[in-house]
Amino acid sequence: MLAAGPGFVHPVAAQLPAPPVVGPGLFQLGGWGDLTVGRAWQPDGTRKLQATDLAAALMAWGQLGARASYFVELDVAKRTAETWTGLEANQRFAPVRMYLEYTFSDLFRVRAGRFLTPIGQWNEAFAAPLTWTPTRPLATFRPFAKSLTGLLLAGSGDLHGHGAGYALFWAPQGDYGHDYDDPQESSFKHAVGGRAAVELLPGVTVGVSAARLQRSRPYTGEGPEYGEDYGGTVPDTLLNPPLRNEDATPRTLLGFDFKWAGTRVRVQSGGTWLLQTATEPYEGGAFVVTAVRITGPVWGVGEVERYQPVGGGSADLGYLGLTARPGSHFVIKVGRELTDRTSPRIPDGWFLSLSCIF
Amino acid sequence: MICVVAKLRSDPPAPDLEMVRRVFQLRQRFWPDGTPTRPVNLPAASPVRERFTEEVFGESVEDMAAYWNERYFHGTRPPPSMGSQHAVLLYVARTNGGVGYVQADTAAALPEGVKKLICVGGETD
Repeated sequence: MLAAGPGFVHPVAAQLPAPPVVGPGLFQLGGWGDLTVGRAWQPDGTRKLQATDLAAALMAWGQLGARASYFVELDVAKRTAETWTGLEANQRFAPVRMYLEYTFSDLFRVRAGRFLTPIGQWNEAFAAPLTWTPTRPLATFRPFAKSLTGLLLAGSGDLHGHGAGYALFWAPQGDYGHDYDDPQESSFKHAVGGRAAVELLPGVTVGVSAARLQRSRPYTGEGPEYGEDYGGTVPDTLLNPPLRNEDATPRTLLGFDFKWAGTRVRVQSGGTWLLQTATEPYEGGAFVVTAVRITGPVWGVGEVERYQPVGGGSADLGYLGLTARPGSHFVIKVGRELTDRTSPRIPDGWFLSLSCIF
Repeated sequence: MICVVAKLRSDPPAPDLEMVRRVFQLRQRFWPDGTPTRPVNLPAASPVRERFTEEVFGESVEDMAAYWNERYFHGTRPPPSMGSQHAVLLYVARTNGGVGYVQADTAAALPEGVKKLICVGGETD
């Protein structure tokens, strides 16, 4: 027996890849919701105060004995181009996660089905109640698909006294189909990749991601959100459809992520790049989000990001705002997005977000 | 002083505070002998739980909510709570892989098969 001293670990830093289900019982039900209001771009080039994100997710999970488990998340949302999923007047119902998992040991778990792509730390903590800002950094979703369908091998353990984890995925097919795809993301096929992360110091987690993939389908769509000019505003080259076509050329995706969780200061950073090929230019960017506790549950939040869209000039984005977490179930975010581009696809202006966990 | 007690099929592992953290954060789901870990808490308002949380995690029970909120989105809830330290001992004694924490004086007389893993903090108030 040993009498140990106080610990100094910050548990919120423990964001290792693909956390397992450890839920009591066969069936658990939960979910989350979000309402974000902002001045959304209209097809005639004007802007109007409206809900830019109205989303709800239903989650179900359970353990089948000590080693097997399942998880299902179904999202329904109506979103505009200003929000991170970015579809004008989009209304869709999507299975974000739907998998079975078997745990051989803490070091080896196998997940089969549809799962969150383990690229960076943000994509696996994407739900609005978990994020610091009302809109998501572009680098956390634009260069890759939010979910993949295939197999995932993951584990965590101790690496020379540091907590560490990994996730490796193989996704032979693309997403389910156009109804479920998010056209602002890059859908994959023949994708192989993963992420590894380690808690270097108490409260400090760093991770790296990499993948080889092919685009799974042409980037097509209807309406002004797919590259048409918004009635006299600056034409947006952020998502240039001809450059994001289906392409059999294997592409390489690289990423890094960093998280420091102090008692009064939290910093998240990451970068993701889809490297250039003979047929497509590179796309990607990096961001830093800093949150400083002002008082009690109220945090001041700032973000900077530089993003290089496919085929267009780079965009510099910034955010300043407040985030309050009064209790465990509610999150309130209010802040202003600042950008050097006037674009329907880059968030700009004031946003107010109310989200909840149930 | 608060002691972590467990019922294991094999000899208890070497005292390891980091392992205790992982077990109570549900990041380590198996003991070294392969038995599933089955941690239990005391109620959130329990002074013993508050002290255990501060000694082991360096956080208050309230601050731990951020961690459990993240894990909730992956299908993980905090370990269940027992109503008293004696209930913790009873649960651990009846559960292979069970693990809990009690004050040192309560841990002075442990049920058969339950062993101390590690003790944290100074003297209790």
